[in-house]
Amino acid sequence: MGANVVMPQLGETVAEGRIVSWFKKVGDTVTAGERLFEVETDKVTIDVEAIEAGTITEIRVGDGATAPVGAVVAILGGASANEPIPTPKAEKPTGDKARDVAKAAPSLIAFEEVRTSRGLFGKALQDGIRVTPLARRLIAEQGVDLKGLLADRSNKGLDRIAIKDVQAYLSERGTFRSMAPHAATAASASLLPPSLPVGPRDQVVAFSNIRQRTADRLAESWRTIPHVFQALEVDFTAVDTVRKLQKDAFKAEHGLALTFLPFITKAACIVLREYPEINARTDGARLIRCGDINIGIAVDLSHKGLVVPVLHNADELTVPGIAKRLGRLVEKARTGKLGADDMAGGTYSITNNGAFGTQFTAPIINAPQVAILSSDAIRLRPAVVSTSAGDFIAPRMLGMVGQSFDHRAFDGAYSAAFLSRLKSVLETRKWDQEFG
Amino acid sequence: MAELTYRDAVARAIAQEMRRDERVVFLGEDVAKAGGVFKATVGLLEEFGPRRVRDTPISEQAILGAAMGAAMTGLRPIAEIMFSDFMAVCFDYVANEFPKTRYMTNGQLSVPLVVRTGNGGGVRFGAQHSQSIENWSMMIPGLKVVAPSSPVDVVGLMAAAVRDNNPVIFHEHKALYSIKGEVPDGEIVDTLGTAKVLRSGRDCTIIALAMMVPRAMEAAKRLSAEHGIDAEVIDVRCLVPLDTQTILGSVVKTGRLFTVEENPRLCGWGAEIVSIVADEAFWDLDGPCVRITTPHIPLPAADHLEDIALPTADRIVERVSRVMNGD
Repeated sequence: MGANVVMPQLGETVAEGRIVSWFKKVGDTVTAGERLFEVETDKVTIDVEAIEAGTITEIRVGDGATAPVGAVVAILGGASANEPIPTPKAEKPTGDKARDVAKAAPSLIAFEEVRTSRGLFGKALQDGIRVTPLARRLIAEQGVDLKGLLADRSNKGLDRIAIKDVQAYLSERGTFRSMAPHAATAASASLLPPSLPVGPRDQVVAFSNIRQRTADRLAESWRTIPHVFQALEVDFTAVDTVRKLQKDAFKAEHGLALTFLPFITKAACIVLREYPEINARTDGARLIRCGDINIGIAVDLSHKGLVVPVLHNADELTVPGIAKRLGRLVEKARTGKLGADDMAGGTYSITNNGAFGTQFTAPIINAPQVAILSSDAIRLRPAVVSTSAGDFIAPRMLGMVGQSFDHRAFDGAYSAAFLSRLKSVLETRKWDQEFG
Repeated sequence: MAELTYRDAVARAIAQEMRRDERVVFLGEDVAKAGGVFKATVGLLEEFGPRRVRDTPISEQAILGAAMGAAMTGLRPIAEIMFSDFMAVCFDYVANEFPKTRYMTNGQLSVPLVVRTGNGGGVRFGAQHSQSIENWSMMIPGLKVVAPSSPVDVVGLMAAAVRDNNPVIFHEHKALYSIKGEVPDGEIVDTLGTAKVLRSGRDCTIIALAMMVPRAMEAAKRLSAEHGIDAEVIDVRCLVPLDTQTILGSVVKTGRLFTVEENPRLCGWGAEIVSIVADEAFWDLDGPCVRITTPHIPLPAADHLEDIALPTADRIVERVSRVMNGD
């Protein structure tokens, strides 16, 4: 084994030393403690002794030459001239080589007494889904098709990938199961806060992932956003007239029922352009008026959860265009095939409970959006109709349209004006022109 | 094989070492004639006499100063600080003198002593007599730090501490003095810096110390029975040196780490372990490392308040099961 002979630190402020003369020459054998050379600094001149025994194989800094503190001035024993003094050095593997590097055991950083993990296995956040470190490593090591895995998870409405997800994906590759609740067993009783009593006849149902995610998001929204709800009655007779005229042809051509929802969506898009602070997002300190109008539509999964796929640039679509796109999204939602892109980017939301005959619904805002529209049952009811010939009672298709808004973002009059204008568009727009 | 209390294990350990080595002496407040306020040193005065087993004045500085002088001049003293909280009174010795002397004299002097101290809460002694202070010593280079959870570990680790040439702070848990456990006959010597895997498991690793160990064990049983979570439980036993090999090995196996710490949250011993795991085992983690600790508050004296503050088996079960299942 060889060793480097270095220029010693001869004082706190000394940076270099000049070797006055060597007492030994190349080939000489030295013992520990034997004088090697005399060194001179601006403060002192002293003899430097060998720390260990060996044979001098090389003298790099000769008589009269100067070297900085720590520099190798000679080599003792069989040490190679190129062998550096080992110094701790941070490893910085790059992406491609990460897998190989990670297999090598990391070495101890003596000064900090840790063996810092090596390797890089991709970002923690991929397409809005969080992937745990162990899962990322397995994905990289197994060469898992990340896109497929991400799509599988987001189809299931989930936002995390842990090791068990990767393992499950690997073992059931290609098979998609929709949103099975995980760990929903009687044993999960104590998942509940300890204060919640469970009687012998009670049944405990642990939240599925989608339920938990919905719960967390809605609770957060309800806690942080001052909600105000307003609703007004809209006369859908004009809409219904066109809808009845078109629905059979539409059904025949596209296999989809033509409901009121595409009309309401279209009307909302028109009015949102006039009220830009409603088509917006907020973080509580700023309002971002969104350039695009992307309408989230709440879709119930047969009481097993709620997803909100998004109609991107809905304002560029006609009523039948909205109906068709909506039909596709609902189909994807119900078969568990929504991708992350299908659910991202909403700027405003609409929820519709009309199928169950509800009168009105006060929905919770889908943060960071600032408002959500609700529509309910639309049915024939007696109404007062004013004509040039006088006022009459007539059967009209009436329904409530309501909006919950974030009072931090704007005030009640703005929201009311929006609703009023929405009512006007729904009641007076020439809807037949949408069907060219 | 005999069943001993943790309390009796202390006296047995000291006696074992005093019989073996004449240089071992023992001093502290009310430790000799009274047998200690926690009755952990009963019988030592009778067996070894007043030269080797000494009552001292009520001065923590005098106790540790005398112990240090004795250690530097050839004895191997065991000094008692009755309540670990009082370490603050004599902390100059603990922080500046014991751990630095061997280093600063380049090994010409060493300080082979053991400070045993009644540590921890759960016994309604209030904010100044209940603290869990093992992390105070953990942060000082030059000290070794021990906190056993069972009678057999008290004997084995005390023997190892007495035989170590460095100052060792030996934390006995006040609430554990009455627990019982099997202790084999004959001489017992353990190894500092070794953790014990008390329960093997696949799903997560729970690391605990002293009084938190039985609570973690109970929690593990319930996690298995009620939640199907198979937790591995590790008793750290010794914070310095730290058995990182056992800890990292377990985390690599399970992918999940929980620490159960009696010390207040900020800078608790588990923070260091979590830091090491985050550094060295990052790519083996399948979820966040979670610390279950006493909150960062002075410990209340009232029964129900103290019970709320200290981590319980209920809290461990609730926290672990939520984190493991609620993702």
